[in-house]
Amino acid sequence: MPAIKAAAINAVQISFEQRIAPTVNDQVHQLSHYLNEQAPAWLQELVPAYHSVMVYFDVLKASHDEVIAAVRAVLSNDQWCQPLQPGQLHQIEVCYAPEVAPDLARVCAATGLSAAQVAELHSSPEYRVYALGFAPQFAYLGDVNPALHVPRLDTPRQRVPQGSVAIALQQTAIYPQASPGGWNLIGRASSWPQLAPNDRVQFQEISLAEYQQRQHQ
Amino acid sequence: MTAVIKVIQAGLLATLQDFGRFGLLARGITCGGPMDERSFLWANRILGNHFNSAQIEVTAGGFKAQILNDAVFAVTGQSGAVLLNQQLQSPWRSFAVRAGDELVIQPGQHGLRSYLAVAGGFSGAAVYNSVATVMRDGLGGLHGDGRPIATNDILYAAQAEPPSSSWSRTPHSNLIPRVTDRVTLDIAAVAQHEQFSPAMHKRLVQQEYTASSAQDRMGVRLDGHLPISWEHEQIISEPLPVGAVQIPPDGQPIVMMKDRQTLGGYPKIGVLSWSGICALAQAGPGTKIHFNWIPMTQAVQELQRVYRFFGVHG
Repeated sequence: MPAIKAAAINAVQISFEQRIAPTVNDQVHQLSHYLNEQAPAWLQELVPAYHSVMVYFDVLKASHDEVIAAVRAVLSNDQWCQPLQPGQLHQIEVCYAPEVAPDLARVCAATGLSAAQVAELHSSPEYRVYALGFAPQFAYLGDVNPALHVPRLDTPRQRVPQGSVAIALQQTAIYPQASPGGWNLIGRASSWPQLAPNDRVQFQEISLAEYQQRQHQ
Repeated sequence: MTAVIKVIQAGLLATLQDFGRFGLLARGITCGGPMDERSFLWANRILGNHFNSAQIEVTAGGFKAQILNDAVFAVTGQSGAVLLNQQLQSPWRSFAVRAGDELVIQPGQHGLRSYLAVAGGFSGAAVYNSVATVMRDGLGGLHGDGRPIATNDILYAAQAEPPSSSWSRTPHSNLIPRVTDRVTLDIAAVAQHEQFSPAMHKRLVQQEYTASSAQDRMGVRLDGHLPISWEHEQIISEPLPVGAVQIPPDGQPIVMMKDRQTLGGYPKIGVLSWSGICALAQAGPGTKIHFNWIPMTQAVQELQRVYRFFGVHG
Protein backbone atom coordinates (compact mmCIF):
# COMPACT_ATOMS: atom_id res chain seq x y z
CA MET A 1 0.00 0.00 0.00
CA PRO A 2 1.58 3.32 -1.01
CA ALA A 3 1.71 6.20 1.47
CA ILE A 4 -1.49 8.29 1.46
CA LYS A 5 -1.29 11.51 3.45
CA ALA A 6 -2.69 15.04 3.71
CA ALA A 7 -0.47 17.16 1.47
CA ALA A 8 -2.28 20.50 1.52
CA ILE A 9 -5.35 21.90 3.25
CA ASN A 10 -7.44 20.65 0.35
CA ALA A 11 -5.33 17.79 -0.99
CA VAL A 12 -4.07 14.31 -0.29
CA GLN A 13 -0.96 12.80 -1.90
CA ILE A 14 -0.42 9.16 -2.81
CA SER A 15 3.26 8.26 -3.03
CA PHE A 16 4.36 5.02 -4.64
CA GLU A 17 7.93 3.68 -4.51
CA GLN A 18 10.42 6.57 -4.48
CA ARG A 19 12.05 5.87 -7.84
CA ILE A 20 11.91 7.34 -11.31
CA ALA A 21 10.99 4.19 -13.24
CA PRO A 22 8.44 3.23 -15.88
CA THR A 23 6.76 0.62 -13.66
CA VAL A 24 6.26 3.10 -10.83
CA ASN A 25 5.08 5.83 -13.21
CA ASP A 26 2.62 3.34 -14.76
CA GLN A 27 0.97 3.00 -11.33
CA VAL A 28 0.69 6.78 -11.05
CA HIS A 29 -1.11 7.09 -14.37
CA GLN A 30 -3.27 4.02 -13.82
CA LEU A 31 -4.48 5.38 -10.49
CA SER A 32 -5.08 8.87 -11.93
CA HIS A 33 -6.99 7.43 -14.84
CA TYR A 34 -9.11 5.26 -12.55
CA LEU A 35 -9.95 8.09 -10.14
CA ASN A 36 -10.80 10.40 -13.04
CA GLU A 37 -13.18 7.76 -14.43
CA GLN A 38 -14.77 7.15 -11.01
CA ALA A 39 -15.19 10.92 -10.61
CA PRO A 40 -16.15 11.01 -6.91
CA ALA A 41 -18.24 14.09 -6.04
CA TRP A 42 -15.44 15.58 -3.93
CA LEU A 43 -12.73 15.28 -6.61
CA GLN A 44 -11.49 18.60 -8.04
CA GLU A 45 -8.32 17.66 -9.86
CA LEU A 46 -5.46 15.20 -9.98
CA VAL A 47 -1.80 16.02 -10.46
CA PRO A 48 0.28 13.01 -11.50
CA ALA A 49 4.07 13.27 -11.18
CA TYR A 50 6.85 10.66 -11.35
CA HIS A 51 5.92 8.45 -8.42
CA SER A 52 3.18 10.49 -6.74
CA VAL A 53 -0.33 11.79 -7.37
CA MET A 54 -1.86 14.82 -5.66
CA VAL A 55 -5.63 14.61 -5.24
CA TYR A 56 -7.31 18.00 -4.74
CA PHE A 57 -10.77 17.79 -3.20
CA ASP A 58 -13.64 20.07 -2.27
CA VAL A 59 -13.27 20.72 1.49
CA LEU A 60 -17.00 21.38 1.71
CA LYS A 61 -17.76 17.87 0.43
CA ALA A 62 -15.17 15.68 2.17
CA SER A 63 -12.45 15.57 4.81
CA HIS A 64 -8.87 14.34 4.47
CA ASP A 65 -9.82 11.17 6.34
CA GLU A 66 -12.72 10.44 3.97
CA VAL A 67 -10.57 10.98 0.88
CA ILE A 68 -7.75 8.85 2.31
CA ALA A 69 -10.22 6.07 3.13
CA ALA A 70 -11.71 6.23 -0.36
CA VAL A 71 -8.29 6.05 -2.01
CA ARG A 72 -7.25 3.20 0.29
CA ALA A 73 -10.38 1.30 -0.73
CA VAL A 74 -9.52 1.81 -4.41
CA LEU A 75 -5.96 0.61 -3.88
CA SER A 76 -6.99 -2.47 -1.91
CA ASN A 77 -8.17 -4.37 -4.96
CA ASP A 78 -6.89 -4.75 -8.50
CA GLN A 79 -9.50 -2.77 -10.40
CA TRP A 80 -7.38 0.37 -10.56
CA CYS A 81 -4.27 -1.17 -12.16
CA GLN A 82 -5.73 -1.83 -15.57
CA PRO A 83 -2.88 -1.54 -18.06
CA LEU A 84 -3.41 1.72 -19.91
CA GLN A 85 -3.35 2.10 -23.65
CA PRO A 86 0.17 3.25 -24.37
CA GLY A 87 -0.17 6.92 -25.17
CA GLN A 88 0.33 8.26 -28.65
CA LEU A 89 3.76 7.93 -30.25
CA HIS A 90 5.15 11.25 -31.48
CA GLN A 91 8.14 11.71 -33.79
CA ILE A 92 9.88 15.01 -33.11
CA GLU A 93 12.64 16.41 -35.31
CA VAL A 94 15.73 17.67 -33.48
CA CYS A 95 18.81 19.42 -34.76
CA TYR A 96 21.91 18.50 -32.73
CA ALA A 97 24.30 20.98 -34.38
CA PRO A 98 26.53 22.99 -32.01
CA GLU A 99 24.97 26.23 -33.30
CA VAL A 100 21.75 25.28 -31.50
CA ALA A 101 23.29 23.13 -28.77
CA PRO A 102 25.41 25.31 -26.45
CA ASP A 103 26.13 22.47 -24.01
CA LEU A 104 27.03 19.85 -26.64
CA ALA A 105 30.78 20.25 -26.23
CA ARG A 106 30.51 20.06 -22.46
CA VAL A 107 28.34 16.94 -22.62
CA CYS A 108 30.88 15.31 -24.97
CA ALA A 109 33.69 16.12 -22.56
CA ALA A 110 31.74 14.82 -19.57
CA THR A 111 30.71 11.55 -21.23
CA GLY A 112 33.64 10.85 -23.55
CA LEU A 113 31.21 10.61 -26.47
CA SER A 114 31.49 12.30 -29.87
CA ALA A 115 28.79 14.74 -30.97
CA ALA A 116 27.55 12.13 -33.45
CA GLN A 117 27.30 9.53 -30.66
CA VAL A 118 25.38 11.96 -28.41
CA ALA A 119 22.86 12.53 -31.22
CA GLU A 120 22.63 8.78 -31.90
CA LEU A 121 22.15 7.82 -28.22
CA HIS A 122 19.64 10.62 -27.59
CA SER A 123 17.50 9.85 -30.66
CA SER A 124 17.41 6.06 -30.36
CA PRO A 125 15.06 5.38 -27.45
CA GLU A 126 11.31 5.71 -27.36
CA TYR A 127 10.88 7.97 -24.32
CA ARG A 128 7.82 8.04 -22.12
CA VAL A 129 6.17 11.23 -20.89
CA TYR A 130 6.48 10.81 -17.13
CA ALA A 131 4.65 13.98 -16.21
CA LEU A 132 3.88 17.54 -17.27
CA GLY A 133 5.00 20.33 -15.02
CA PHE A 134 7.46 23.21 -14.48
CA ALA A 135 5.64 25.21 -17.20
CA PRO A 136 2.65 24.65 -19.50
CA GLN A 137 3.47 21.87 -21.97
CA PHE A 138 6.83 21.11 -20.33
CA ALA A 139 6.98 17.30 -20.54
CA TYR A 140 9.44 15.32 -18.42
CA LEU A 141 10.67 12.49 -20.68
CA GLY A 142 12.71 9.45 -19.77
CA ASP A 143 14.78 7.38 -19.63
CA VAL A 144 17.97 8.68 -21.21
CA ASN A 145 20.68 6.10 -21.96
CA PRO A 146 23.00 5.84 -18.90
CA ALA A 147 26.04 6.62 -21.10
CA LEU A 148 24.50 10.06 -21.65
CA HIS A 149 23.70 10.92 -18.02
CA VAL A 150 24.99 14.41 -17.17
CA PRO A 151 23.81 16.29 -14.06
CA ARG A 152 22.02 19.66 -14.13
CA LEU A 153 24.09 22.83 -14.45
CA ASP A 154 25.34 24.22 -11.13
CA THR A 155 23.90 27.59 -12.02
CA PRO A 156 20.81 27.58 -14.22
CA ARG A 157 20.78 29.74 -17.35
CA GLN A 158 18.70 32.90 -17.07
CA ARG A 159 17.24 32.20 -20.50
CA VAL A 160 16.95 28.97 -22.44
CA PRO A 161 15.79 29.51 -26.06
CA GLN A 162 12.35 28.20 -26.96
CA GLY A 163 12.48 24.69 -28.43
CA SER A 164 15.75 23.77 -26.73
CA VAL A 165 16.15 20.03 -26.25
CA ALA A 166 17.84 19.29 -22.96
CA ILE A 167 19.05 16.47 -20.75
CA ALA A 168 19.59 16.09 -16.98
CA LEU A 169 20.62 12.60 -15.82
CA GLN A 170 17.90 10.20 -16.91
CA GLN A 171 15.47 12.96 -17.94
CA THR A 172 15.11 14.80 -21.20
CA ALA A 173 12.72 17.54 -22.30
CA ILE A 174 11.90 20.26 -24.81
CA TYR A 175 11.61 23.73 -23.31
CA PRO A 176 8.29 24.84 -24.84
CA GLN A 177 8.93 28.53 -24.13
CA ALA A 178 12.00 30.60 -23.43
CA SER A 179 12.51 30.44 -19.67
CA PRO A 180 15.24 30.04 -17.06
CA GLY A 181 16.54 26.48 -17.08
CA GLY A 182 19.20 24.29 -15.54
CA TRP A 183 19.37 21.34 -17.93
CA ASN A 184 22.07 20.64 -20.57
CA LEU A 185 21.10 21.97 -23.99
CA ILE A 186 22.01 19.44 -26.69
CA GLY A 187 19.69 20.38 -29.54
CA ARG A 188 16.74 22.37 -30.81
CA ALA A 189 13.32 21.36 -32.10
CA SER A 190 11.45 23.65 -34.50
CA SER A 191 8.04 22.23 -33.72
CA TRP A 192 6.51 19.74 -31.35
CA PRO A 193 3.03 18.44 -30.60
CA GLN A 194 1.06 18.81 -27.40
CA LEU A 195 2.15 15.93 -25.19
CA ALA A 196 0.13 14.08 -22.57
CA PRO A 197 1.34 11.93 -19.70
CA ASN A 198 2.10 8.35 -20.81
CA ASP A 199 2.63 9.40 -24.45
CA ARG A 200 5.78 8.18 -26.19
CA VAL A 201 8.33 10.36 -27.95
CA GLN A 202 11.05 9.48 -30.45
CA PHE A 203 13.48 12.12 -31.63
CA GLN A 204 14.63 12.20 -35.26
CA GLU A 205 17.90 13.88 -36.11
CA ILE A 206 17.81 16.57 -38.78
CA SER A 207 20.65 18.70 -40.13
CA LEU A 208 21.17 22.39 -39.40
CA ALA A 209 20.11 23.21 -42.98
CA GLU A 210 16.90 21.24 -42.57
CA TYR A 211 16.26 22.90 -39.18
CA GLN A 212 16.72 26.37 -40.67
CA GLN A 213 14.40 25.43 -43.52
CA ARG A 214 11.72 24.36 -41.00
CA GLN A 215 12.11 27.67 -39.19
CA HIS A 216 11.32 29.60 -42.37
CA GLN A 217 8.19 27.62 -43.16
CA MET B 1 -20.18 45.59 -21.90
CA THR B 2 -19.29 49.12 -20.93
CA ALA B 3 -15.90 50.80 -21.01
CA VAL B 4 -15.32 51.71 -17.38
CA ILE B 5 -11.76 52.94 -16.95
CA LYS B 6 -8.76 54.07 -18.95
CA VAL B 7 -5.47 53.39 -17.18
CA ILE B 8 -3.30 56.49 -16.80
CA GLN B 9 -0.66 54.79 -14.67
CA ALA B 10 -0.49 51.09 -13.82
CA GLY B 11 2.07 51.44 -11.02
CA LEU B 12 4.64 48.76 -10.24
CA LEU B 13 2.39 45.91 -11.40
CA ALA B 14 -1.33 45.64 -12.01
CA THR B 15 -2.89 42.41 -13.24
CA LEU B 16 -6.39 41.25 -14.04
CA GLN B 17 -7.33 38.36 -11.76
CA ASP B 18 -10.42 36.26 -11.28
CA PHE B 19 -10.44 33.56 -8.60
CA GLY B 20 -8.09 31.37 -10.69
CA ARG B 21 -7.58 28.91 -13.55
CA PHE B 22 -8.34 25.45 -12.21
CA GLY B 23 -8.32 21.87 -13.42
CA LEU B 24 -5.10 22.17 -15.42
CA LEU B 25 -2.30 21.44 -12.95
CA ALA B 26 -1.75 18.06 -14.63
CA ARG B 27 -0.80 19.96 -17.79
CA GLY B 28 1.72 22.16 -16.00
CA ILE B 29 -0.66 25.13 -15.95
CA THR B 30 -0.77 26.88 -12.60
CA CYS B 31 -3.84 28.54 -11.11
CA GLY B 32 -2.89 32.22 -10.76
CA GLY B 33 -5.63 34.26 -9.14
CA PRO B 34 -5.56 36.76 -6.26
CA MET B 35 -2.59 36.56 -3.91
CA ASP B 36 -4.77 37.86 -1.05
CA GLU B 37 -8.00 35.90 -1.39
CA ARG B 38 -9.53 37.48 1.70
CA SER B 39 -9.39 40.99 0.19
CA PHE B 40 -10.46 39.74 -3.24
CA LEU B 41 -13.48 37.83 -1.91
CA TRP B 42 -14.57 40.77 0.25
CA ALA B 43 -14.42 43.17 -2.69
CA ASN B 44 -16.76 40.97 -4.72
CA ARG B 45 -19.07 40.45 -1.75
CA ILE B 46 -19.26 44.19 -1.02
CA LEU B 47 -20.41 44.79 -4.60
CA GLY B 48 -22.80 41.83 -4.76
CA ASN B 49 -20.60 40.23 -7.45
CA HIS B 50 -20.13 36.51 -8.12
CA PHE B 51 -17.14 35.35 -6.08
CA ASN B 52 -15.19 34.74 -9.31
CA SER B 53 -15.71 38.23 -10.83
CA ALA B 54 -12.46 39.66 -12.14
CA GLN B 55 -10.68 42.52 -10.37
CA ILE B 56 -7.47 44.47 -10.79
CA GLU B 57 -4.75 43.39 -8.36
CA VAL B 58 -2.65 46.52 -7.77
CA THR B 59 0.85 45.92 -6.40
CA ALA B 60 2.39 48.63 -4.24
CA GLY B 61 -0.03 51.34 -5.35
CA GLY B 62 0.78 54.07 -7.81
CA PHE B 63 -2.33 53.21 -9.84
CA LYS B 64 -4.20 55.97 -11.59
CA ALA B 65 -7.23 55.70 -13.86
CA GLN B 66 -9.75 57.89 -15.59
CA ILE B 67 -13.40 56.85 -15.25
CA LEU B 68 -15.16 56.54 -18.62
CA ASN B 69 -18.69 55.68 -17.49
CA ASP B 70 -20.72 55.69 -14.29
CA ALA B 71 -20.05 52.61 -12.20
CA VAL B 72 -19.76 51.31 -8.64
CA PHE B 73 -16.34 50.38 -7.30
CA ALA B 74 -14.72 49.01 -4.17
CA VAL B 75 -11.08 48.92 -3.15
CA THR B 76 -9.91 46.36 -0.59
CA GLY B 77 -6.53 44.95 0.40
CA GLN B 78 -3.79 47.17 1.74
CA SER B 79 -2.71 50.35 0.10
CA GLY B 80 -2.24 53.99 0.86
CA ALA B 81 -4.96 56.54 0.30
CA VAL B 82 -7.70 55.87 -2.25
CA LEU B 83 -8.61 59.16 -3.86
CA LEU B 84 -11.50 59.98 -6.16
CA ASN B 85 -10.95 63.42 -7.69
CA GLN B 86 -8.46 63.94 -4.89
CA GLN B 87 -11.09 63.24 -2.23
CA LEU B 88 -10.34 60.47 0.23
CA GLN B 89 -12.50 57.37 -0.25
CA SER B 90 -13.01 54.75 2.44
CA PRO B 91 -11.65 51.41 1.31
CA TRP B 92 -13.55 48.17 2.04
CA ARG B 93 -16.88 49.70 1.01
CA SER B 94 -18.59 50.46 -2.30
CA PHE B 95 -18.54 53.92 -3.84
CA ALA B 96 -20.08 55.38 -6.96
CA VAL B 97 -17.91 56.84 -9.72
CA ARG B 98 -18.99 59.05 -12.63
CA ALA B 99 -17.64 59.54 -16.13
CA GLY B 100 -14.76 62.00 -15.97
CA ASP B 101 -13.71 61.14 -12.42
CA GLU B 102 -10.09 60.28 -11.63
CA LEU B 103 -9.20 57.43 -9.28
CA VAL B 104 -5.84 57.11 -7.56
CA ILE B 105 -4.60 54.28 -5.33
CA GLN B 106 -1.52 55.45 -3.54
CA PRO B 107 1.25 53.25 -2.17
CA GLY B 108 0.90 52.52 1.55
CA GLN B 109 3.47 52.34 4.27
CA HIS B 110 2.64 48.72 5.01
CA GLY B 111 0.93 46.08 2.92
CA LEU B 112 1.57 45.30 -0.70
CA ARG B 113 -1.55 44.51 -2.70
CA SER B 114 -4.93 46.12 -3.18
CA TYR B 115 -7.93 45.04 -5.22
CA LEU B 116 -9.97 47.36 -7.43
CA ALA B 117 -13.34 45.78 -8.13
CA VAL B 118 -16.30 47.01 -10.18
CA ALA B 119 -19.94 45.94 -9.87
CA GLY B 120 -20.35 43.25 -12.56
CA GLY B 121 -16.64 42.46 -12.72
CA PHE B 122 -13.99 43.45 -15.26
CA SER B 123 -13.79 41.64 -18.61
CA GLY B 124 -10.86 39.93 -20.27
CA ALA B 125 -10.22 37.34 -22.99
CA ALA B 126 -10.70 34.10 -21.04
CA VAL B 127 -8.17 31.32 -21.59
CA TYR B 128 -9.18 27.88 -20.29
CA ASN B 129 -12.23 29.59 -18.74
CA SER B 130 -10.28 32.13 -16.72
CA VAL B 131 -8.83 35.63 -17.11
CA ALA B 132 -6.37 35.11 -14.24
CA THR B 133 -3.06 36.61 -15.40
CA VAL B 134 -0.03 34.33 -15.14
CA MET B 135 2.81 36.23 -16.78
CA ARG B 136 5.33 33.40 -16.83
CA ASP B 137 2.82 31.11 -18.55
CA GLY B 138 1.70 33.81 -21.01
CA LEU B 139 -1.94 33.20 -20.05
CA GLY B 140 -4.79 35.42 -18.97
CA GLY B 141 -5.19 39.17 -18.65
CA LEU B 142 -7.07 41.53 -20.93
CA HIS B 143 -5.94 39.81 -24.14
CA GLY B 144 -5.31 36.24 -22.95
CA ASP B 145 -1.54 36.44 -23.38
CA GLY B 146 -0.50 36.95 -19.77
CA ARG B 147 0.42 40.63 -20.08
CA PRO B 148 -0.09 42.87 -17.07
CA ILE B 149 -2.32 45.95 -17.27
CA ALA B 150 -0.55 48.89 -18.92
CA THR B 151 -0.94 52.62 -19.44
CA ASN B 152 -3.75 53.46 -21.89
CA ASP B 153 -5.48 50.10 -21.41
CA ILE B 154 -9.24 50.40 -21.39
CA LEU B 155 -11.11 48.04 -19.11
CA TYR B 156 -14.70 47.00 -19.58
CA ALA B 157 -17.21 45.85 -17.02
CA ALA B 158 -19.09 42.69 -17.90
CA GLN B 159 -22.35 44.33 -16.90
CA ALA B 160 -23.18 47.68 -15.43
CA GLU B 161 -26.08 47.77 -12.99
CA PRO B 162 -27.40 50.81 -11.23
CA PRO B 163 -26.26 51.08 -7.62
CA SER B 164 -28.60 49.61 -5.06
CA SER B 165 -28.95 50.33 -1.37
CA SER B 166 -27.93 46.75 -0.57
CA TRP B 167 -24.49 47.57 -1.92
CA SER B 168 -23.27 49.46 1.08
CA ARG B 169 -22.12 46.17 2.59
CA THR B 170 -18.87 46.52 4.40
CA PRO B 171 -17.22 44.02 6.71
CA HIS B 172 -17.18 44.69 10.41
CA SER B 173 -14.02 46.60 11.18
CA ASN B 174 -12.58 43.70 13.18
CA LEU B 175 -12.69 41.54 10.04
CA ILE B 176 -10.51 43.96 8.10
CA PRO B 177 -6.90 42.93 8.66
CA ARG B 178 -4.59 45.58 10.03
CA VAL B 179 -1.26 45.29 8.31
CA THR B 180 1.88 46.34 10.11
CA ASP B 181 5.55 45.59 9.68
CA ARG B 182 5.29 42.16 11.31
CA VAL B 183 3.09 39.15 10.69
CA THR B 184 2.57 35.63 12.07
CA LEU B 185 1.92 32.84 9.58
CA ASP B 186 0.08 29.70 10.67
CA ILE B 187 1.64 26.57 9.16
CA ALA B 188 0.52 22.92 9.18
CA ALA B 189 2.82 19.89 8.91
CA VAL B 190 2.72 18.05 5.56
CA ALA B 191 5.03 16.38 3.03
CA GLN B 192 8.60 15.90 4.29
CA HIS B 193 7.81 17.43 7.71
CA GLU B 194 8.67 14.27 9.66
CA GLN B 195 12.04 13.97 7.93
CA PHE B 196 13.15 17.33 9.28
CA SER B 197 14.46 17.03 12.84
CA PRO B 198 12.43 18.24 15.86
CA ALA B 199 15.15 20.85 16.29
CA MET B 200 14.35 22.22 12.84
CA HIS B 201 10.59 22.22 13.57
CA LYS B 202 11.38 24.32 16.60
CA ARG B 203 13.87 26.56 14.80
CA LEU B 204 11.28 27.45 12.16
CA VAL B 205 8.90 28.89 14.76
CA GLN B 206 11.43 30.30 17.19
CA GLN B 207 13.41 32.57 14.93
CA GLU B 208 12.30 35.73 13.22
CA TYR B 209 12.30 35.78 9.43
CA THR B 210 12.35 38.76 7.10
CA ALA B 211 10.45 38.82 3.82
CA SER B 212 13.16 39.42 1.24
CA SER B 213 12.93 41.45 -1.93
CA ALA B 214 13.27 38.13 -3.82
CA GLN B 215 9.53 37.76 -4.05
CA ASP B 216 6.86 37.84 -6.71
CA ARG B 217 3.61 36.08 -7.54
CA MET B 218 5.48 32.76 -7.83
CA GLY B 219 6.96 32.78 -4.36
CA VAL B 220 8.42 34.65 -1.42
CA ARG B 221 11.92 33.99 -0.14
CA LEU B 222 12.37 34.47 3.58
CA ASP B 223 15.67 35.18 5.31
CA GLY B 224 16.39 33.79 8.78
CA HIS B 225 19.52 33.86 10.84
CA LEU B 226 19.94 30.07 11.06
CA PRO B 227 19.32 27.75 8.11
CA ILE B 228 16.77 24.92 8.22
CA SER B 229 18.84 21.85 7.42
CA TRP B 230 17.79 18.83 5.38
CA GLU B 231 19.87 15.76 6.09
CA HIS B 232 18.57 13.44 3.38
CA GLU B 233 18.88 12.87 -0.35
CA GLN B 234 17.26 15.08 -2.95
CA ILE B 235 13.60 14.26 -3.32
CA ILE B 236 11.93 13.38 -6.61
CA SER B 237 9.88 16.28 -8.02
CA GLU B 238 6.32 16.07 -6.79
CA PRO B 239 3.18 18.23 -6.97
CA LEU B 240 3.54 21.59 -5.23
CA PRO B 241 0.55 23.17 -3.46
CA VAL B 242 0.08 26.92 -3.01
CA GLY B 243 1.39 27.87 0.43
CA ALA B 244 4.01 25.11 0.49
CA VAL B 245 7.12 26.08 2.45
CA GLN B 246 10.06 24.67 0.50
CA ILE B 247 13.53 24.40 2.00
CA PRO B 248 16.22 24.71 -0.71
CA PRO B 249 19.86 23.71 -0.12
CA ASP B 250 20.76 27.05 1.53
CA GLY B 251 18.14 26.46 4.27
CA GLN B 252 16.18 29.67 3.72
CA PRO B 253 12.46 29.01 3.22
CA ILE B 254 10.67 29.82 -0.02
CA VAL B 255 6.88 29.99 0.26
CA MET B 256 5.09 29.10 -2.96
CA MET B 257 2.32 31.44 -4.05
CA LYS B 258 -0.32 31.61 -6.80
CA ASP B 259 1.94 31.52 -9.90
CA ARG B 260 4.13 28.70 -8.58
CA GLN B 261 5.25 25.92 -10.92
CA THR B 262 3.17 22.80 -10.56
CA LEU B 263 5.93 20.34 -9.60
CA GLY B 264 8.81 21.02 -7.21
CA GLY B 265 11.97 19.21 -6.16
CA TYR B 266 12.83 20.81 -2.81
CA PRO B 267 11.67 19.25 0.47
CA LYS B 268 8.68 20.92 2.12
CA ILE B 269 8.44 21.39 5.88
CA GLY B 270 4.79 22.46 5.88
CA VAL B 271 2.03 24.42 4.17
CA LEU B 272 0.55 27.78 5.19
CA SER B 273 -3.05 28.13 6.28
CA TRP B 274 -5.42 30.15 4.08
CA SER B 275 -5.05 33.23 6.29
CA GLY B 276 -1.28 32.70 6.29
CA ILE B 277 -1.20 32.96 2.50
CA CYS B 278 -3.42 36.06 2.59
CA ALA B 279 -1.13 37.67 5.18
CA LEU B 280 2.05 36.80 3.27
CA ALA B 281 0.52 38.37 0.14
CA GLN B 282 0.66 41.67 2.04
CA ALA B 283 4.21 41.25 3.36
CA GLY B 284 6.43 43.58 1.40
CA PRO B 285 10.22 43.30 1.60
CA GLY B 286 11.43 43.93 5.14
CA THR B 287 8.30 42.61 6.87
CA LYS B 288 9.15 40.56 9.95
CA ILE B 289 7.66 37.08 9.84
CA HIS B 290 7.07 34.45 12.49
CA PHE B 291 5.74 30.97 11.84
CA ASN B 292 3.31 29.23 14.17
CA TRP B 293 2.55 25.48 14.00
CA ILE B 294 -1.15 24.66 13.92
CA PRO B 295 -2.92 21.32 13.54
CA MET B 296 -4.18 20.57 10.03
CA THR B 297 -7.75 20.34 11.37
CA GLN B 298 -7.60 24.00 12.36
CA ALA B 299 -6.47 25.01 8.86
CA VAL B 300 -9.23 22.91 7.30
CA GLN B 301 -11.93 24.41 9.53
CA GLU B 302 -10.80 27.89 8.60
CA LEU B 303 -10.94 27.15 4.87
CA GLN B 304 -14.37 25.54 5.17
CA ARG B 305 -15.71 28.54 7.11
CA VAL B 306 -14.29 31.00 4.58
CA TYR B 307 -15.50 29.17 1.48
CA ARG B 308 -18.96 28.72 2.98
CA PHE B 309 -19.17 32.39 3.93
CA PHE B 310 -18.14 33.66 0.50
CA GLY B 311 -20.00 30.96 -1.45
CA VAL B 312 -16.84 29.64 -3.12
CA HIS B 313 -17.58 26.52 -5.11
CA GLY B 314 -16.64 24.62 -8.25
